[in-house]
Amino acid sequence: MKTSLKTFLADLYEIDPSLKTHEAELIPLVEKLLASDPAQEPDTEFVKRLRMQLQNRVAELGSPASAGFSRWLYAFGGAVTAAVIIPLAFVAVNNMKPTTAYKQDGSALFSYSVKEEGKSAFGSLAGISETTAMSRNQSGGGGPVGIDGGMVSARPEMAPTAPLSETSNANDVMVDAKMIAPFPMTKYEYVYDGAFPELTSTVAVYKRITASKSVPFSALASSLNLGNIDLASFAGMNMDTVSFSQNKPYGYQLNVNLRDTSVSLDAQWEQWPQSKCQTDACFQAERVKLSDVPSEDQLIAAANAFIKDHSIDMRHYGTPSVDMQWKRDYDRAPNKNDAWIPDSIRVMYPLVVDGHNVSDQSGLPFGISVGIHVQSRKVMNVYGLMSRDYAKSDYAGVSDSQQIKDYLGKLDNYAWMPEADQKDVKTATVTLGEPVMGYSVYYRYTNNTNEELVVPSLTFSIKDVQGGDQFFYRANVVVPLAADMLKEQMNGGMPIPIDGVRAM
Amino acid sequence: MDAAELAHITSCQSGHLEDFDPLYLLHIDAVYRYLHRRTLSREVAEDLTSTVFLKALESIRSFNPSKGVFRAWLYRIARNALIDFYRSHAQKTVSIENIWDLASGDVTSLVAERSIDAKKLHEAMKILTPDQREIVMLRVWEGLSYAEIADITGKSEGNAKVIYSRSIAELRTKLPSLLLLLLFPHSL
Repeated sequence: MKTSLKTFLADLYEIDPSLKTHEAELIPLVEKLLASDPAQEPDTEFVKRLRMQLQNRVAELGSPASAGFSRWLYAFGGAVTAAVIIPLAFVAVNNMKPTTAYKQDGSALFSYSVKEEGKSAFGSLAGISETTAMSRNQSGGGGPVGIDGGMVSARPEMAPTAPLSETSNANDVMVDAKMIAPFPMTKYEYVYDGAFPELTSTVAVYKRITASKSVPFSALASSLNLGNIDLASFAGMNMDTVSFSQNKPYGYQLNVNLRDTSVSLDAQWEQWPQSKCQTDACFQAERVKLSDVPSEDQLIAAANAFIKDHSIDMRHYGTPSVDMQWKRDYDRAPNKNDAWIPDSIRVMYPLVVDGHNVSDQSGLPFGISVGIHVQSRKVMNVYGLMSRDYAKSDYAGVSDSQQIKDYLGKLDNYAWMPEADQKDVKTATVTLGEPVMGYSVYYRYTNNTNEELVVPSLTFSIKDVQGGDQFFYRANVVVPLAADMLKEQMNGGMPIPIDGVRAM
Repeated sequence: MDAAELAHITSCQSGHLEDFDPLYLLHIDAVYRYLHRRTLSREVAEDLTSTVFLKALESIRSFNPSKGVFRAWLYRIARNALIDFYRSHAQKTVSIENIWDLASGDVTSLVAERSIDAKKLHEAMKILTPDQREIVMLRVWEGLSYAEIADITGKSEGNAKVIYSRSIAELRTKLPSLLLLLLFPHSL
């Protein structure tokens, strides 16, 4: 982790405050010094190799739990008998001790595993951007949304040209690039002139395996007498979901979904303080103020404490960060009294795959989110707890950086618009920062279900925007490195022409 | 050190060494970069990184969370691994501070587009004493806190801060020539 320019300058000024008057000259010079760091990132293959070496060493050392070291390597392996599953499920829920939820053979009710498949095992990756709104081109406005109750999603990204009222925010205004003009039109040109990380001709793509856990309902029905219906008379039923409520102040509701193997935790609202306001004055008095918002360190500490208290398994998740996107909206609002401040703020723990953090398509962390209630500072919800069983398959990668530059050149391009109408479109330049290699999540809608694909990607941060307007909401640009997907996205995701909309 | 990291460490120390995996994932990049900066060789940095993590795995029970953070403990192992490496490669006596000079011969092994800047920077940084250079590198490039730097170098936190401050002051007085060197390497 490099020291930031700000910290570096602060150190300089501590020594000689008079240097502050030369800040304009110092900044480019110090930036150069920081940028001259000779260090290189470790090779991905090396990271994998050493990881395997360490796992082998653990086995040699004969850890009492060494059998469990590779437990996340095992697929769950089909049906599990109710006699085993149900007691374990309840032990897991009641005690929230992940280690007690494991079966004796080392596999877990909810697990983490990676299963190697042959090349291109998931079929063509082309067409993903068109088959589901969640995976359209990032300028398409759809963005990732929560599915199946357990997935963590970033806030939808507003179309770069979307209108925004002074007091609204990206959550309130869902604007799709398919909106029909007129609305403020700006063509953003994305520029990146720096170096690229090493690109490879083959990339590993992961697909989440969502085999539901089959738990016969009869195992539960025989001991549960409802009085007005014989549950045991329904042959062949499986238990899909289980809900638990905690009836005490600030209690929780916990939902276990065995169909998609996820657990979500929400406030049990009957047990949390509710507003009794009937007037606007009352609402104004109660609304969240900026001074109520805990610091990022406090939010992370609260989330970490909750995770520790409830033994949430974080072994496959990275360093947490706070989702502060709301602050950007707040800072832009001319009237701070009307500006929106959320009543809960998310702490995000990114899923780690192959040593890299996973993001959503807007470049924000994808994994487990812990929502902290701003005013009570208590954890309000936890999403993203789920089995992380993946199949892994090699696909052709994007090895030519020019292809990535071509893609960037086509982002937010209004080529679909008749030339005559383009005269009112102004142009802005977006300078991108050095890309970070990682993974991002895409969804493919097929056979009436959404398949989750984790694809190697480059994430470019937005370094500078010149000539843009206040409606530019993109925080990052994520470029998939699977050749089929990049090709598809380069040609897809365009807004639907007006005629097309009228015909619908 | 956050609660999740501490939980993994505690779990490892109680015998569940499988929990070393997230610790590895959390620190591999930083440890590798630390070693690469001081060896300027991908091959050597990989070898030493392997050594560091294997040693850390085997001796994690000796880590005391109340006496420092895990990252600083890993850097200390890395520092010792570096010294051992240079000692076993024809340098019979070597201190961590002199490693900068020893590594200079390998600067050209950096990727082409970065090698010139790195080489010039390598020379420019020699205006600092080895002791100062180590602390500046830990602070500027590794982004470590003074407490962590103190833990790694064996100095007090106050002493580490003073050395860093003096180093920056010295860099500042020689800033024009240093930065000219960095900004226009081809013209010199």
